[in-house]
Amino acid sequence: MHIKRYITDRRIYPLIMIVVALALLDLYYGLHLGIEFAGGTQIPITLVHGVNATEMQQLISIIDQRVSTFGLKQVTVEGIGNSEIYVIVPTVSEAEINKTISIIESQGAFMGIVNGREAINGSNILSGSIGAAPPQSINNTVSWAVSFYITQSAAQNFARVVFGQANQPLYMFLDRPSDAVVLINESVLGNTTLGLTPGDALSTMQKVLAFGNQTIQVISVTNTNTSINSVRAFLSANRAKYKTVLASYNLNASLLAFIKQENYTLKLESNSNMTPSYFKISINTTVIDSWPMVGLLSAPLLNPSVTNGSIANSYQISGIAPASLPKAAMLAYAQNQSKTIASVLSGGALPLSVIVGTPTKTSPTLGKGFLDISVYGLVLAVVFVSIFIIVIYRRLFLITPILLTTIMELFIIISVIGLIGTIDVAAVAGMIAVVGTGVDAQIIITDEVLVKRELQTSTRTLLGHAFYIIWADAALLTIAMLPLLFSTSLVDITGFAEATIIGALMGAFLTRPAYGAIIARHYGE
Amino acid sequence: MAINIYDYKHYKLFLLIPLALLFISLYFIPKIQLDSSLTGGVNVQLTTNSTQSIRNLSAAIGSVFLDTRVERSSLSGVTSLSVTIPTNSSLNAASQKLQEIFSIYSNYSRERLRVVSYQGVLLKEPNNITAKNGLAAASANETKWVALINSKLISEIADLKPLIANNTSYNASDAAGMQKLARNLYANASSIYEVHVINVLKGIVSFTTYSYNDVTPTLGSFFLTEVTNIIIVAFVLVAITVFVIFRTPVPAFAVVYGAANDIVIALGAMGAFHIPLGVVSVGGLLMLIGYSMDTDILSAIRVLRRSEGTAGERAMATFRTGITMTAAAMISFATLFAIAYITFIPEYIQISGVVLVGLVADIITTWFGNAVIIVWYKRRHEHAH
Repeated sequence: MHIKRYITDRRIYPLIMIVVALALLDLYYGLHLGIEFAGGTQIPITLVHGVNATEMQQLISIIDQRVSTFGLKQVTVEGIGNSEIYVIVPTVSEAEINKTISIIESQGAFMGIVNGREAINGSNILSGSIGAAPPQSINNTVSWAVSFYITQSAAQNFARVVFGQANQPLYMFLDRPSDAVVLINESVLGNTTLGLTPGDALSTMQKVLAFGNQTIQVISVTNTNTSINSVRAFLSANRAKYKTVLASYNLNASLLAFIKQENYTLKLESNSNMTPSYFKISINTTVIDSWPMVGLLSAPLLNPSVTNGSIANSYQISGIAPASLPKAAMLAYAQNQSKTIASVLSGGALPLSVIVGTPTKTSPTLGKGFLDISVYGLVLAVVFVSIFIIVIYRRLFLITPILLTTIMELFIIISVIGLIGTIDVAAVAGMIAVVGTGVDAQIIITDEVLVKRELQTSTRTLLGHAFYIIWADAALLTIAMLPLLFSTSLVDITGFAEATIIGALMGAFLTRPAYGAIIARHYGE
Repeated sequence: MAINIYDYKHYKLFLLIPLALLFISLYFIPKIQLDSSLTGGVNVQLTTNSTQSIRNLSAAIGSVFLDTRVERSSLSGVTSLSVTIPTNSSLNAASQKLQEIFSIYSNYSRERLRVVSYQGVLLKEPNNITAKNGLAAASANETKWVALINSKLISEIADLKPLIANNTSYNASDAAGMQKLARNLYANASSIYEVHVINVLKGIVSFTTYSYNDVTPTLGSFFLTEVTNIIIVAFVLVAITVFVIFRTPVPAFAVVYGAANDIVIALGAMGAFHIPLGVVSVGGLLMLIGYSMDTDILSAIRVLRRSEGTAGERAMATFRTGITMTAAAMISFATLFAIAYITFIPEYIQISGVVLVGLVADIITTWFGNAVIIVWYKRRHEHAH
């Protein structure tokens, strides 16, 4: 046979290469299915007033960040128009959905600790009073500031707690774990660049975590039996006091098993999570200014003016960007720092109120049924259309090129959408539409080459005629679908536009030229 | 030799057929049923083993929820039902109150902030007159907003009375507490309503898996404007492109007219045959623009830019190619429609239904409308030379 002649045709081999590449990517990354097929829940969130595109992006990223940090995997957050957001979770479990909703609605608990005593907490701060001023740049220093108001009684408490604590850190925690023990592998304790010994590091950490009877214990563990046994003894003795153990992931396996056996909630942490970020404030003193594992997000130093016993209603947290940075980076640093502080103070709150609507659930069994039906639909559509073409033209040879090009076209669409987007009901409907347009183009090509051959025109000219029409059609279909593709509100059906546009473009530049080449080689050239 | 409809003496009269269909369709367009994605409402889809007839089911469900639409399909003993219930008016009213409470609350927090900052100033300068006056004004406003929140909350509670027993007590001077309560009451009422709907349905048919979808009326009407806008923008863009491709007004007009006629007839058929219009239908309507362009452009280019035979002969040859194309597209959508109709997937029924009726309209519009205009134009042109 002349298979080699077909494969080396420059209108055919690019198609084969692309299909092979996509097949490899599909195998490696897998295809994403929408909740209609995979099962899942869509939670609608209504914003109390419309927002502009930037604000919408900001809201989406806050919600996204919040649900992902709480360990919810594969959550999709989509903006609909300017006042609605969909959160899509791949589960139908009532408990998981309620957890997601409460995470979206809730705000984190902010707590400021000075020298082991609570100086301020989130409920002391007046809502709406937190303001981040734009960074100030004077003589090559860039400073930032966040101001806020607190209630009268909170102001008195704050003045009492910080009295005499000038230049001490105010440890700002968001959702500080309670009833917790930290087990840290001794090998990750010290910090050689700052000249910090493991002992120094441990005592610095203990200072951060001290808080009366809510102190988080931090214990350094080595792989020796003595060390492991003493940890075991500590955990057994304090079973009533602590509930959670935050541990280095590379601790002794038998110790980890023991922790679970004692019914502690065990959270394994990577070394980078375990290691706090240190900040040297003077030659002898190093403090910790952030430690995400325990919710410590910032540790500004107390200005002497607030630690002399006077009471004030408004406070300001300010700082200076490191002078070692280039100017632009200093501004960005200051901006970021004030944003972080403002968001910590407000408990990571959303910038405006939201109303969570009734979740839409699709059970995985129902979804599996939809998927099966959709696959049958696609396969049957291809089969019926192919039979129709062969009956019309009465040429059995046509079955191979028609099936090959149609299947490859579908395969490319499924791969591209499944790899970068989500295959949903709308995308499958779009694929059926592509079967239709693809066959239409094949009919135009076949008609030109077969029917008009009697006119003694060269096959090349005939194909040229056909492709002029095919390219015009593809361009018009793509243009017709563009408004839907870029719609920010009808996101449920943008899959339809994605499928038809990919189909039209792939068809015009890859699969239909390949079909034309096969027909031309067989009947002409 | 086969008959050539374009050689018929009064072939121009064919134009009346698509025009007549156009006018009939305009009459039916207002009768289009919108589905719950555009009107708002609750849609429950479930699978059951029950063999009750659709009439009994509709009557039983309709006696509890007025204006309910029930659709049913079955495949190998498993029956799928789609039940669409109009929005619950209590929940709808309460959701508006809730929105209002949120916006009043943001006014309240602004005044609260003023109160505290004036208090701070007065602590240091007890005799500052500006601060004293400011404090008085801000306190008065603050009280006003708190009272307004309270009155909205009272009417929200009244709205939700049918769903939630009225034993809610709260502190009417705690704005933050009232805002939170308003939100929780609404959330509770929504889930109580969901449980109620599911329980009522379970009392009528037995089922285990279901999908529950609630669209608020405001979101529904927002989607409807979006659907309309998208179709109009797409149509305008396509029309501009067609004029760029042809650069002569008459053929370009014929092609654009073909697409517009198809969409109008498809919409009219949806009204006449009760195919509901939903958010997903927009995909089908846009696709229709694409399919209609396929055949319109084919006939225009072949008749105008080729030279073999007469214009009528070329039109007739193209007619065969075009019918084959439309038939192939109809076969693929008919497959989808048949499968979706048997197994009941409303999204597929809506998309394929629109495209199928649109393709039927396309055959008539293209070959009795668009092609006739093109042949007429070409013949006049040939006579002129």
